[in-house]
Amino acid sequence: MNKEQLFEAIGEVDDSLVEQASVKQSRKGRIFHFRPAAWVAAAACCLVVGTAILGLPKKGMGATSADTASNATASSTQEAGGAGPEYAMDMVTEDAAPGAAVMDGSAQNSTAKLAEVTTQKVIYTAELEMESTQYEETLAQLLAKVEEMGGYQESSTQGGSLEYGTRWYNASFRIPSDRYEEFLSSAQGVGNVTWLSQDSQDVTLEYVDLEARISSLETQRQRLDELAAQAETVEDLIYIQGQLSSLEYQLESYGSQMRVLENQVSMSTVTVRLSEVATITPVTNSFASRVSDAFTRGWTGFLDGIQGLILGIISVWPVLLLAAVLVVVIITIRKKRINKNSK
Amino acid sequence: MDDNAILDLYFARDERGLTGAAAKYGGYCSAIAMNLLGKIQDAEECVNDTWLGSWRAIPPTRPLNLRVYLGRLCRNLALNRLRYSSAQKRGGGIALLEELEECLSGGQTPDQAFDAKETGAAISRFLEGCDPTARTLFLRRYWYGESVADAARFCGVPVGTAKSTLSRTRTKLKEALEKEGVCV
Repeated sequence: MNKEQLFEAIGEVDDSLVEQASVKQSRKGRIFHFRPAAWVAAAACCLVVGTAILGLPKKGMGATSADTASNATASSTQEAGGAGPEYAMDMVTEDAAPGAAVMDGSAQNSTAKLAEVTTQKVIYTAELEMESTQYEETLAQLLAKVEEMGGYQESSTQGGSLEYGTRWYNASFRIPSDRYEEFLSSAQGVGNVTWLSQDSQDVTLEYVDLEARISSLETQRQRLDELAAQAETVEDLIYIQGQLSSLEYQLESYGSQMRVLENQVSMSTVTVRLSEVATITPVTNSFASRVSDAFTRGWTGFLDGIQGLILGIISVWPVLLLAAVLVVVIITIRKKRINKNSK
Repeated sequence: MDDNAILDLYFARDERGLTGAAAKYGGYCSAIAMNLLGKIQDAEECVNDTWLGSWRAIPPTRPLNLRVYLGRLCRNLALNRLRYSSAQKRGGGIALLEELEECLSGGQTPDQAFDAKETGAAISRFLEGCDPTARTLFLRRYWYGESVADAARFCGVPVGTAKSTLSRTRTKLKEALEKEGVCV
C-alpha cells in the first residue's frame, strides 16, 4: 500500500465518523476530575517555575513569550464547552467562498469593462490576538465594538480556567467593510495586541467577469423570449423552452456566486483571540522596563506558586489527617511504654 | 432542499437536483477541494467534476448520507488531480501525504491486493477506539485535508498539542493496521 492508497482508504471511513468530525465537540465533565496527586505536582511545578522566573533573564520578543505561556498553561486548563457547533461547517464554507466565485476563461470582456468599474471589490480579512488582565471587561468592550460597527459574531469558542486566570475567547466577526479599519484600530485599544495580520484580496476581475456573463446571458434570454413569441410549431417552442431552462440555470448559478462575492466584499472577516493573562506582555524593550517586568513577573510567579502550594496542601487533607492521627497514636503508645519502663 | 428531495430529482434525471446539491453542499465541497489542492482554479474544476461524477453515479447508487458522499467524491477527485500534478512535478498539498507515509512500513507486498473499502473499515474500527479529540483532529487533517493549525483551531487545542496528538495517532494507526493484518 502506498500513501495515496492510504489516503484513499481514509476516505472510506464510516459516514458517521466523518459527520461527527464536522461538529465541534465540547469536553464537558472533565472539569470535575479531582486528582490530588496532579494538584500537588502542579503546585510544586508552579512554585519552581515561579521562583525560577525570578532569576531568569528575559529573552525573545513579547509574542513568543506569550505563546510559550499559553502552551504551558493549556495542558492544565479544561474547556468549558465550545459555543455553537452549528457554525462549524459554515465557517469553512465562508472561507472557501471566493473560490466558488472564480470561473475559468472568457476574460476578454472583463479587461475592457474593468475601466468602467469605479469601486474596487476587495475582500478584507484580519487576524488579531490580544491579551488582557481584565478579561471580562475587555471581552464586553470588544463585543460592544462589534455591535457599534454594525457587525455580528459568526462563530465563537471559549474555554480556559477561571481558577488559574487562563480563560480565552476565540471568535470570528463579520464587520461591514466601510468600518473595517475603524473596527481594527478601536479593537486594538481594548486589549494588549500581540499579533495582527491583515489580508486583502482583490476580486474586481472576478466580479466584473460575473457581471459580464450575467448581462450576456440576460440578453440571450431576451432574444429567446422574443423567438418563443414568434414560434410557429410546437417543436420549435419545446426546443426554445429547453434552451431557456438551461439559461435560467446558468443565470441562477452566476447570481448565487455573485451574491457570495458581494457578501464577502461588503462584510470583512476579523478573527480575534483574546486570552486572559496575569501580566501583560511588555511592548518596550528598555533595560528599566525589563527590570520592572522581571520584578512583576517574579512576584506574580511567586504568588502563584504559594497559592498552588497552599491549594496542593489543602487538597491532600485526608492524608494529612491520617498522618496526624498516626503521629498521635504513636506518641501515646511510646509514652505508655516509657511509663511502664520507669515503673 | 431536503437530501431526499435532491436524490429524488437525481433519480428523475432532473437537473434541479444538481442545482440543489450545488447550493447546499457547494461550500462544503469547495472547502475540501481548496484544502487539498490549494489553488482556486483547480478547486473550482474539481468541484465541477464532483457534480458531474455524482450525476453519473447517483442512479443506481442512492447514498445514505449525501453530504459525506459528495465530500468523499470530491476528495477522491482531488486526489486524482494531486496524483496527476505530482507525476509532472512535486509540490502542492503533498505535505499531508508525506505525513501519512509514516503509517506505512515501506515493504512491498505484491501478493496482497489493496482494498480501499476493507482498509477503510479497519481505520474506522481504529478511530472508534480513539480519544474523541484525537479522532476529530485526525479526520480534520486527513479527511478534510485541513492544515494542522486549522484542525487545532477547530478542536480548540494549541497547535503543538495537535501536532503531537496527530503524530501519536499515526503511530498507533500503523500498529493497528499491522495487527489487523492489512498490508501496510
